[in-house]
Amino acid sequence: MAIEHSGGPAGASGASAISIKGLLKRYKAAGREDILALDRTDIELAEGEFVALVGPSGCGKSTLLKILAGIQPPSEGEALIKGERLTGPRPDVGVVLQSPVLFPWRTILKNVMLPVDVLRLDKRRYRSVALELLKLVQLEGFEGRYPRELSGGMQQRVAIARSLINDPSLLLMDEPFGALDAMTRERMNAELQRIWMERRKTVLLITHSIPEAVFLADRVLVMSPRPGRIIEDIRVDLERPRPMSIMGSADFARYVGHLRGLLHAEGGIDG
Amino acid sequence: MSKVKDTAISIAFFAFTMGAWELSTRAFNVPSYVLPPPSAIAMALYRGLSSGLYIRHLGFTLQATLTGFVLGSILGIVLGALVASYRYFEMLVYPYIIMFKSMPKVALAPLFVLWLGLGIWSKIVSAAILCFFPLMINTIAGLRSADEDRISLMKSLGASRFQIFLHLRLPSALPFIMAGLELAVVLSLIGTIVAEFVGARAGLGTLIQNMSSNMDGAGQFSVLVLLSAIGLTMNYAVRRLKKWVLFWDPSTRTDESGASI
Repeated sequence: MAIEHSGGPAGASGASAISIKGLLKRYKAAGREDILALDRTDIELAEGEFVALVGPSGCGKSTLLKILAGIQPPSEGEALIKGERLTGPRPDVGVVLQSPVLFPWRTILKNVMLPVDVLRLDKRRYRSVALELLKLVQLEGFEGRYPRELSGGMQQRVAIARSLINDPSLLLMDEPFGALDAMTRERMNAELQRIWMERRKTVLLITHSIPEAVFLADRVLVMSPRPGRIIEDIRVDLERPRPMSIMGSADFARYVGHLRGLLHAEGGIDG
Repeated sequence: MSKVKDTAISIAFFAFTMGAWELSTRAFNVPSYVLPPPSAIAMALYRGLSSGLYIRHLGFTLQATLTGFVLGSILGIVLGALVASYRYFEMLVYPYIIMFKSMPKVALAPLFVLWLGLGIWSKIVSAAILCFFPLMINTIAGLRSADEDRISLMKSLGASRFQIFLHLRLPSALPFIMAGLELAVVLSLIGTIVAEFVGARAGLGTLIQNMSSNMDGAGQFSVLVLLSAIGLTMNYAVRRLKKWVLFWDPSTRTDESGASI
């Protein structure tokens, strides 16, 4: 099996969930030269596609995510979500960060309901949605607990449930399992695949872990060290659902090997 | 088991101290206006309480203290929130805050009595001024302590400034505000007593001054005992409130001991 360069997003409809054109981000640094975090990046994501973005530390991956989440404006270029130019945060974009970022004074249920409070949606209706999501992330019965009573992996599952509460069509995940131990991380990968297959969101997953990217994604984008550019776009042709054992297969190893080679050639990656 | 033992040792030590105090004042014939024996203090306390004299003065002091505490704290929290939320307001007000912060506020008590008279309002304002600063400073620090990732998350949800304040900044500030209240509750009593020293018609501070001029040592000590009892009770109440409000804050549940002084 040859490793295939993807010619862009997959999907019969061809509709772009995310379309990034010439996106550039420059940070002003006091007394020093400006830092170029992101250099004229173009990315296309099709509706329902799971795309992983890998790259060395500080290559601008998180900057890209913050721009897509509408928290930071780009310096140049534009990002379109479902064909609309992005001007700020959008309710149909869910975000999961590296740490669970739960609110310790809220119960698990109320943490999942946070977007409902902020977006002023119907609380009663969404309460049942929240309970359903807690079931989806296998935390049934924990709704009345507080975050400190949960392990790191459980807390991150709450964060995932929270990101899904208002049924966003696009999920942005920044190293969501980076803080977890290896065993928990693999289990969470399997869970995320299951959730994704059930919900079919468009996902952009930023990760340091090459196996995680290959295991989860339809396409893996590789970013260069700062200033970040996309240097490779690979389609992962492994059948779904992918069992955990696939990580031991020759095909899987070939993808991982190829990506690792690329990243090391570009100046290293941890992991 | 060792808890029972510790308590027993504490009680024994207390009894020993009191006994030693009692015996030495008697043995060395220490005049009562210098250091009265504990038995005389207990008697004075009993007489003062049963005659209703202490209760009347206590009522006055307590009213001034609690009113000052509540007003000063609310003002501190509100002003702190304004300073933390509006740059312009901060620029306007902060120089004055810095100036007043390092001033010993009890020194203002004579002015308050001059301006507001011998009644309760000079005591309330004196107590409130002392409460105001720790609350304002802590509220500012608390509102600014909100975690960056949580702010990012709120922003990604499109939360307004007010929503971020309500759902994130204010709860994040609560541990700071509660710590401020713990300080303020003690300060409010100090503020009241000092203003009573300067001039008042009633109150425990006035009572102490009268006793001092009558060389009533046992009486003064008995009022001091009463004042510590008030201080301890108020401190306990605030700590209960803190535990109730900050049930989610792990640091609250560990500092059970040693916070009462």
